[in-house]
Amino acid sequence: MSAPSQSLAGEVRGAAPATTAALPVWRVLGWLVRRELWENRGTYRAPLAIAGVILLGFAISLRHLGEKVGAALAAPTGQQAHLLFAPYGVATAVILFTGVATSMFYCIDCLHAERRDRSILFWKSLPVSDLLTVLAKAAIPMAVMPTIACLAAFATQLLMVAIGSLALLATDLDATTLLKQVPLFQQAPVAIYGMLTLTLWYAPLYAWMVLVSGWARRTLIWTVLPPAALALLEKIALGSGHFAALLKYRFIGSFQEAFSASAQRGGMIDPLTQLEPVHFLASAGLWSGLIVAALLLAGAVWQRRRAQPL
Amino acid sequence: MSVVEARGLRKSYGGHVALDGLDLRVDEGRILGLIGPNGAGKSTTLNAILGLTRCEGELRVLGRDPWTERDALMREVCFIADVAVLPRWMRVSQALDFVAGVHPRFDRRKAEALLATGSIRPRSKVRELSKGMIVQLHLALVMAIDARLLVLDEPTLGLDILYRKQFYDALLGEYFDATRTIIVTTHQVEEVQNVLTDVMFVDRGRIVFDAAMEAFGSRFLELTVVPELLAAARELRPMHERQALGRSVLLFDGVDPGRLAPLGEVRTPGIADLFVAVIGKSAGAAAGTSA
Repeated sequence: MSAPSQSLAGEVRGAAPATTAALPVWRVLGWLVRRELWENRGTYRAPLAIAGVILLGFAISLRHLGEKVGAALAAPTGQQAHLLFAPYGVATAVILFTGVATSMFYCIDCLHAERRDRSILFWKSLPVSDLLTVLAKAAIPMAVMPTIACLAAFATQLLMVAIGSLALLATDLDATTLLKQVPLFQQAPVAIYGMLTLTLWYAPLYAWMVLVSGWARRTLIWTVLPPAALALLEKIALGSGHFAALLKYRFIGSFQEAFSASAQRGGMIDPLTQLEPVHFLASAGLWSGLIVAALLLAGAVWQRRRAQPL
Repeated sequence: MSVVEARGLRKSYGGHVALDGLDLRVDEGRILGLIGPNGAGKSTTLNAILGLTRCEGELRVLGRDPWTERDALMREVCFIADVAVLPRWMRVSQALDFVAGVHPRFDRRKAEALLATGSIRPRSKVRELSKGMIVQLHLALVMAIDARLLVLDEPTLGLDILYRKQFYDALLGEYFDATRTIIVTTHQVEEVQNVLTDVMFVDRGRIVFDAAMEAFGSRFLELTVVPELLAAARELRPMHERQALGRSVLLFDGVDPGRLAPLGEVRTPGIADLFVAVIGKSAGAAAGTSA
């Protein structure tokens, strides 16, 4: 061993380069996503736990089910399905919302945890690129959690109908009333569509949180403070509220863009007439959001490459 | 064939210069010990080699630029950076599953066989294991990867002497061969003396000393001088002089043992003695002994 005497280029020709072929990207990505779920079991268990709470509450309320169903059936024909479906719709909304909320908690922590416990040094000792690592983390709020939340919501509805039907056996109502009258299968596409559009709409929010988790020490403060400060600055300096309006639009805009005006007034949504996928896909808000999300994730990849343990 | 080839590596953090034009070359089949005081630039050097930090200068590891090709490089390079970096929430079986899932050169059965010799259960979480067991697990994972370069940054820090001995025994007995290269930094210099094939001292961001261990015994000699002959011994220009048990101990580089023997008791110094001689002196003296 000695100090180098030849040019590097000459030495490189002499050394056998690292040539092992990479594993297929999808396989590695699959393991990375699985790894995220191992580490963050609470993230996907939260919607399941909420579903359990809903089922428990529903089971306790069963003694009044006969009266409620009877009252719904006594309503005018146009309102029957709406009244019967209401508890199922609320259950779905709560479970989907839980999925979104836990996704945000996940994002705020996802690149912070590996720096905090120094395990980033282990992950970086493996042949996995920073790009794939960040993509796997982004896939949790963008793909895994929406899927889990939708499945949990639908399974909850089915179980509610099942135990509700059993409860109706004890009444003088037809036990198949719920099966026949509650429009679960017509409403499932509405929930899936709503979750899908909301997820795409929230992509820049998730991406911002992933980025912050990759460099900040105190992630919650850095997630909230800069946007809030910017809105405040604009208000004080210019007296206007464009940025605040933009933030508000980002939080609630997907419902405006993806559903018809009549759907936004409330009530059960008709999947055939009240969804506006073309309008949603044509909205500038969707595409500008996705571009911002891509830029923020690119920033997160850039940051991950330089990241050190805290 | 060189596995690592670095020239003029520079890195500074704010005003602190971590690497000051460091040159380094490591050939295949060597076990290099990088020894240096805290803050000398050892870890920065290793981080640069592993693509964890960006440096100025030229750097090639297995023909690749570690900074831009870290993930490709990690197929053939392995490292244990510090102890206790395995994620504490992970189960042993999950660690095996995951590494098998993402690493093309990982031999799961070999890792399981290595673990079977210890008391680590597959269902255990890392947080339930003792520090020694975590290092065993990490070593089993790393040894089951058919890597060409293994980098160890203070791999045995905080372990008791039994585990430290087992660690190096396993590494040498079951892992190392002529196609592999190992770079290790440690403060437990005496323990690795017999393990290394080469030693380099790092100080203030530069390599200030570089020797092959094969030549070590013939090149460096330590003389415990008979007090009356101290002046004669000093004429042979020792590189370092210290006092031990009331007698002067002089360290020589490249002096014929036949000339030293009449002056007192001659022995091969430890790396630690040499380290003190080279690093312990002023920067000027250290520069004078640099390779």
